[in-house]
Amino acid sequence: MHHVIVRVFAIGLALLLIVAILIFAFTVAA
Amino acid sequence: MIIPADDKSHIPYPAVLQVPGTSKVPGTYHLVIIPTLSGLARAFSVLNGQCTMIFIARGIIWYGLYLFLVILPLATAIISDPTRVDPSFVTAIGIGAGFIGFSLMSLEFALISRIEAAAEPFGEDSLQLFHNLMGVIALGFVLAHPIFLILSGYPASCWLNPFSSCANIATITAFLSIFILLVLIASSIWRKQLRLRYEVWYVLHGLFALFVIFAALVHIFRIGRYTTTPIMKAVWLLYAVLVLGLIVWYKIWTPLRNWNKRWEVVENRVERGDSRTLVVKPVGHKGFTFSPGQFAWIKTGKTPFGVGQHPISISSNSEEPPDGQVAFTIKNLGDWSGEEIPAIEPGDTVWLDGPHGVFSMDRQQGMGYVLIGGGIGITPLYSMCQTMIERGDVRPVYLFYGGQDWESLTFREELDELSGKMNLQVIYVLSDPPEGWEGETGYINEDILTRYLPKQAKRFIFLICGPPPLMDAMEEALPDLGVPREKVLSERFDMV
Repeated sequence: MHHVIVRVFAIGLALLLIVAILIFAFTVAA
Repeated sequence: MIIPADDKSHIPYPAVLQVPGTSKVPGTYHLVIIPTLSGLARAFSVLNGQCTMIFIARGIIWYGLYLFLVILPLATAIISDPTRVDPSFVTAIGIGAGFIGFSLMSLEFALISRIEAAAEPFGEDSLQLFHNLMGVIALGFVLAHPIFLILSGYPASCWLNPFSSCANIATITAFLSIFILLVLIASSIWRKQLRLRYEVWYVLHGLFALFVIFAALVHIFRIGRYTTTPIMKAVWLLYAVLVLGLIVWYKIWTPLRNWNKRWEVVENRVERGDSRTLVVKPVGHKGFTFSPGQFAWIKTGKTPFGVGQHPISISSNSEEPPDGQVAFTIKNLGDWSGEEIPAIEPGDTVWLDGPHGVFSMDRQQGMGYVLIGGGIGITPLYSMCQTMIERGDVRPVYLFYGGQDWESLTFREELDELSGKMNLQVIYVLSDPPEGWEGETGYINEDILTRYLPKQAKRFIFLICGPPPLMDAMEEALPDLGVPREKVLSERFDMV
């Protein structure tokens, strides 16, 4: 697989996970 | 079968029939069907399209499963709501970052566990790169965990100093887990600068990773806030089982499977370019079948267990080799390849785990092939050329072979010999050419490719194997030449 795509996948996933953490924080925070 | 001249219903693409003027056996004639170029292109496009769609679908499923497992602790924490404490927003970010960091670290084991079904859609070198990138990203999330918690008011002295009076098992395991993780990542990024032997690093890498996961699990259970419900406990245990299961799979089960599949060295010959070719044959078993371009993990020593497995491309032809023999060509890059490989003698035992890899000319069919190799990256391409001869494949092949100087080009004579037996044109590109050299100089680039390739080369399959600078240059150059991305297969040989 093209290695640029792998890097895009990794960075995209990292951004997605940051969004997931924010959703988690908004949900459970007081 | 005789088909009327005007009936093309049996042939899915326009074709002409030709009887060659000569034949191998007097009195016997070979009837050869030569499809037209446009017909071939259409047929291959349908075949390749179906294969590509299957691989994309499987890739999406595996990536989805990975994503599901990464966010599972977060999602479970939200659904099961075990805290009943209502943390502040900043605290919640810290907790969330810790969860994500932990799950990413656990799944690092899955990315390098050689599960073929998972590796197939992506390629093992891509999974290795993804493992490297996600390791660094996991470190970022893990570091964000204490930073946000301290920002929200957790006492830094207790958490950052394991010797402080308020330290306990939860704080000490947290500190050690992060500290060892930092050492693990630093030793991986700067292994060569730190002059760590690959084998030493490999052992430390595995032990450190295991320690990080289990110290983190102890930390999670000692804190206890997110282990109160059975479903959360089940999630953490799932990760523990996953990590242990993967280790058992590729450290115990895979070598155990190879225990009675010994390979004996038949020949250990010196090649150009400070390289050696090990020819091995299976003992007491049939060996394996492989596609040209694949590699195997080689281990020397008395047992298939332990450290010191190295991924090496197969350099022999894949079509029914005598006695199941397989050849590997290994460049001297220091320690193992420079010390252990030259000392191997005929009759010695080696252990193979393979074949692996999706870098193969059999994965995509094309009207012809453009092979681009640099340095010892020539070995899988050499295997492809030999295989094409064995198969009687007459499709055109352009081989661009980059190297430093004329004398160090591995398989130079062999390739010249092959070019007389098949439709092969070899273009050597030297960065340090000898005096009077009239061939290409510098590095393989877009200009050089354009000079030699025919217009229809956009419909060829491009296979690239070499050092990172060559791979990066080609990944940029080929789209500029109008080569569709799906027609480019590549493999980086410095994946570990």
